[in-house]
Amino acid sequence: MAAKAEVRPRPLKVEAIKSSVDMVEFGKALRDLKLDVLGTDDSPIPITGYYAPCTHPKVSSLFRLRRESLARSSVNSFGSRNKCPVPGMLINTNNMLGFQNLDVASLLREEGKKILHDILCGKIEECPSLLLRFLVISFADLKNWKVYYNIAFPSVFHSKMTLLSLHSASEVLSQEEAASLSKSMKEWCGSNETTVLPFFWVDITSDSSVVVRQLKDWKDRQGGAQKLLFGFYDHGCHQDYPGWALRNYVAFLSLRWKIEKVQFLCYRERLGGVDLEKSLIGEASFAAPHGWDGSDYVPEVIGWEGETPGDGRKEMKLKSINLESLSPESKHSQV
Amino acid sequence: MQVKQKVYELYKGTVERVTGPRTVSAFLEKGVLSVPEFILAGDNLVSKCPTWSWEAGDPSKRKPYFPADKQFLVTRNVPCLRRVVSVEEEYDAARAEVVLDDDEGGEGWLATHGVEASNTKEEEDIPSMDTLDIGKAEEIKAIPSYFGSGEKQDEEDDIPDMDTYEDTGDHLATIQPSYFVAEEPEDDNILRTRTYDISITYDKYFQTPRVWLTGYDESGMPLDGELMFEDISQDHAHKSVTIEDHPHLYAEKHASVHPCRHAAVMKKIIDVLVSRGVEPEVDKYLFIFLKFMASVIPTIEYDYTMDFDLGSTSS
Repeated sequence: MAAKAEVRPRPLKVEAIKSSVDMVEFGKALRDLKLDVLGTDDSPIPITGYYAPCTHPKVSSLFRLRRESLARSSVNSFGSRNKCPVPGMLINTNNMLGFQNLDVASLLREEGKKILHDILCGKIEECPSLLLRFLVISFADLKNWKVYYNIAFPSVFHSKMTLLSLHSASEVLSQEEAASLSKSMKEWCGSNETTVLPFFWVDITSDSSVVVRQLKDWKDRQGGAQKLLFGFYDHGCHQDYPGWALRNYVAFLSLRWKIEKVQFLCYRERLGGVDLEKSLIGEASFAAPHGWDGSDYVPEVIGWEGETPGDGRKEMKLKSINLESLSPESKHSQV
Repeated sequence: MQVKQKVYELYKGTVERVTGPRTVSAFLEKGVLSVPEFILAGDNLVSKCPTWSWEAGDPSKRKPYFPADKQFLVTRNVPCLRRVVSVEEEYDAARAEVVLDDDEGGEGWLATHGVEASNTKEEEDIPSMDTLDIGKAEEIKAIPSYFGSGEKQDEEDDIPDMDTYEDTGDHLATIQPSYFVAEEPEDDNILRTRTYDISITYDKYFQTPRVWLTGYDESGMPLDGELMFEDISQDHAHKSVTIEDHPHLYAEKHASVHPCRHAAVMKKIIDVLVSRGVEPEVDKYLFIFLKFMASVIPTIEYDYTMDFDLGSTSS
């Protein structure tokens, strides 16, 4: 089960994340929003998605859209890493034609620009989830009780993003380090203050003690730790690839903190604690090229779900939610 | 007598670790929980098994007697590796079954004898305390079946018949080096499987927890009720398990284990513990309860690890 030892550098491939929409819950909330609030207004509105680290050795976590995704303010003050809130944007069009005419490529590039902007202006340190921002386009067909939608998870990339090594964490860490890391991560995940923050950094000192810190504490870092790992909640369970969140993280570390060789930790869980067999430690290198810090720079971005970039077919499958079970006719016929 | 022996064997490990008894509360006498006790037990479940969380649910369905953000408990994306029907066929062929609690109404919970089935244990998430004999979870987990031909067959059968939806996940398109997205390369470590969201609500009438299941097929689309029954012990499907509206969610197609016999079964389990000198604390209620639920949904691998003393204050 251990990750294969990687000696040769290779392009940084990541495991794409998949969405799971609570069909009726989210669909009904969107329908109600359209009816009661939006009307014909199709300007973008803020939306919340939910992210979680991988919790099973063979099943990757999903990105969740739920009823409360559309709530203006969250009633859930109760933080949990099973539900890390991620900011996103929803564009709900008024008809099928409007939906089909959306320039999906350009919308995605705009999201990529926002990610670069948030990185450069320091917003990421304050709100790390912005690295995971997402986009939903939809058309709520009120008459036919259907909602059509697509989701994008924008991922900025560059051909120079390289993976230098990748190992199971248990192969890299000593027993003492592993024990300290497990303990420190438990505290991180158990604390209301940090549990929903998917990105963090880890200092391992020469006496094997481990400190896990928030991104915003980077400026206060004291030098001298033996190992420095940039950790993140990894949704993926794949042993040969890190999950989707790594790429934007690497871009952040290179652009904002000028770290061109990144030792990263893909944090994955099992039974509520870190799974050091499945968690990965690796090294990625990326020197942000000239221009990335320009305010008008548009990076290359991929991330429409279901689209497989690079194979020449830019084909996005339309997803839909069927709400017919909520229609009065349906209720009537059931009685 | 047979049952008693069985239960004794399986509880031995716990009994040995037990410290002291505890003052009596309502749940010891009747197997029921009060509202504050449900919150207490839920807090303990969330802290010991962090794959479980409290949820607020739909505001319009909020129960005033629970805090707004602690309406019910949920664990999501729980894998279900194979259909219980296929497991039971193998199982029944090899082993005998007895009914644990058949004194009232003849619809008792099945207890199945299957000691010899403990093969190599692939998964480590098996509770450290041996399963109650009402459960078959361990035996079933022990059957390695991730990519058996039966599983493949299931996959094809389960694709929902929706005209507008096309499966986006199943194609393994070629990946060009310039893009780097690994769209699930062919790999034995990646599992295409059904998953479940499991929630536990409080049933005020029966004063017990109640379990709800929402299933998703291999491509993440919601499962129809009938398909969910394939993952429910056939002794319970359509009998104690039915499809109903969730008390906190709008989404339909929730399978629920009817709680009318929960208190009696919990009382039975508690009695066995007590007869062994253990008085389980009320905050451990949900661990016992979930272990008991594993007899109804034996192939759904939710977390109910119980590696602490039932009768002691471990936190």
